[in-house]
Amino acid sequence: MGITIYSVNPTNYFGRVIEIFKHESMGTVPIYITLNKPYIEIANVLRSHGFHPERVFFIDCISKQVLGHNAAAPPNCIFVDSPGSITAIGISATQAAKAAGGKKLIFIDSISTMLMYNDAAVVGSFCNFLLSRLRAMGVDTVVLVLESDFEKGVVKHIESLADEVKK
Amino acid sequence: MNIDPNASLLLVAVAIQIVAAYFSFVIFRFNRLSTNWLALTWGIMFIALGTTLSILAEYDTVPAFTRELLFTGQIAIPILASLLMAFGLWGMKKNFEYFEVVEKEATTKVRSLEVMVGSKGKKGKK
Repeated sequence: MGITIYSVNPTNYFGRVIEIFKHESMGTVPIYITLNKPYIEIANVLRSHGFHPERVFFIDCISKQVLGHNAAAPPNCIFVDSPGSITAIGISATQAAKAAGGKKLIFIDSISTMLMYNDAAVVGSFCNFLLSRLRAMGVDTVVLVLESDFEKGVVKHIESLADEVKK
Repeated sequence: MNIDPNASLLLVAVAIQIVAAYFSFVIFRFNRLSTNWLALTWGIMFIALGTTLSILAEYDTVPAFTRELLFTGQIAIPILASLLMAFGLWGMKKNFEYFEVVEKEATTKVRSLEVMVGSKGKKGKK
């Protein structure tokens, strides 16, 4: 599969995200990087769709901001300080991918949110590094971007790194 | 014209300090992690400024302000620069400690998850 970018319409965004996740994560060890919703919300929705969220490893970049720095993460989740902590996101993603066995999937939800917290140049160089690293490790990656952000220069650059662009 | 070798060496020191400040700024831009890191750059720049003021005082270039230049260049600025450098390095240390925690937590939790998912899978088999 390699690297796939999904252009997502903001209308019914989360419903579409869950659809994409369920489809792409089949037969893999999924590692879900969430910059939008706390892991608990995603886990509850996955459970209601008949998916076992306990089999997913979450890198949650939003709960610490909402719940505070003393919040404890469950066994299948790691809290990153904020969507602005991209170095920590990169480290946790690559380490999780390294530690997991079998076929792995990194699911990044979403680059549009990352752009709200970081400069475009920083997001561009981060994606360049992370996607190249994951490709070299043989890890499949799904990147979500809002439709409205698709014309941005940094997203065009990320598109050039991808194997497929889907809607 | 005789150039005092001490003055030349001090000017070389100032040039090296400016280069060091540039490198520390490049390191900050690499990560753009925390503006705390910029304190280190400012600290090194202030050291360069302090050295320059000391040279000016040492060679009596502004006789009316020699005492003030000496005090600023050899006491006030080094204290300020030291505080800024200590603050910047403390910020870096905190960030790197956090990275180490994140790295270990990600590795440990994914491995435990695999064991847990693997054992549930085995229990489910008939």
